Amino acid sequence: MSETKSFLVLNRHAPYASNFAKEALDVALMSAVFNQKTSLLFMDDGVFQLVRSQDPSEIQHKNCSQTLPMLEMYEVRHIYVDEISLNERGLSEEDLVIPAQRVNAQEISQLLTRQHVILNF
Amino acid sequence: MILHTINKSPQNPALKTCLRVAAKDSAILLIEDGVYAALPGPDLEALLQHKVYALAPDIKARGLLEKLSPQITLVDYSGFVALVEQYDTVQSWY
Amino acid sequence: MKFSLAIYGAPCSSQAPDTAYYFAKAALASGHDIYRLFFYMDGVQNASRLATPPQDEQNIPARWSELIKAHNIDAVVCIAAALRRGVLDKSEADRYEKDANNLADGFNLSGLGQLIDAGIESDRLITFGC
Repeated sequence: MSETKSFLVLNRHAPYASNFAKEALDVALMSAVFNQKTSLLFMDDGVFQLVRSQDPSEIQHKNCSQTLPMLEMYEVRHIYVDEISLNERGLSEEDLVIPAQRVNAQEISQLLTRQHVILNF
Repeated sequence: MILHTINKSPQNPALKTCLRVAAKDSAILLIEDGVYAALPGPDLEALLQHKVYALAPDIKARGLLEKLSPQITLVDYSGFVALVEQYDTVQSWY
Repeated sequence: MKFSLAIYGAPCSSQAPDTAYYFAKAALASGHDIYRLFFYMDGVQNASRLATPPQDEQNIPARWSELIKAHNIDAVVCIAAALRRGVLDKSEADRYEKDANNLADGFNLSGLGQLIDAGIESDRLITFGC
């Protein structure tokens, strides 16, 4: 591997209605496998991916939220959530299945600027 | 510096969220249904705080050539390529 | 510059395949290199050879195949995403005992690591979302 870059996986879609959540998480884990500096940011309806107590057994779908703790096993520790997206949806930190750092618009702006590659889902 | 592309109409949260987090020095390129943001609307003023480009073939396809704000610069696909070259990263809002 | 394109939209339900195609052509015409085209999520449908649109509409997979061959571009279709959506090459069709395969000329099935590699090795990675 020639170099290390910073990769941000930006998630803006709710789980289950589409495959975005699942396929984005695969990308984040792959970025970690490639030893890249990997971060995740959840915004807009993407924050719904983080909601605890998901149980898609009756729609026969894999539980996306159960895969999220794997990020820590892969040493992906930079997980951010947009506080305005949370607030707009009536969610707070206690609703989340994994710890995520709340960030405001200015912090998101800086986070985006620091990336070599932004992978959008 | 970031080039933001938006391919959804202003009714989608993509535009508002982009405008909320886009740094002042970043440019915004409207493509596909994103070009509808070039029409007069509630978000146009905030949009025009940035350097704004729109993909001409998408503007033309949708019949917006006569309607778009004069502060928006039209580019063709090679102009899109030049913008990608000019900015460090591309952030695609869709 | 070295560009890579990540394409997530399918023909018919998204304009992403068109935008990505014209971007790729313009990049090549401007003297840039395409390090990789990476088709992921519903974008894997860009690689279905069996798409048969009417003659007065673009055949998107055929158009990609021509561009890929003319410029010797590395065009990778995510294998997991493709198998899920029924885009198979001959060896996958044989492996899963399917009665047909449909991966168009010039495309290759490979892993998601190729997307990360494209991000590492390219000067710019541009996402064409749906």
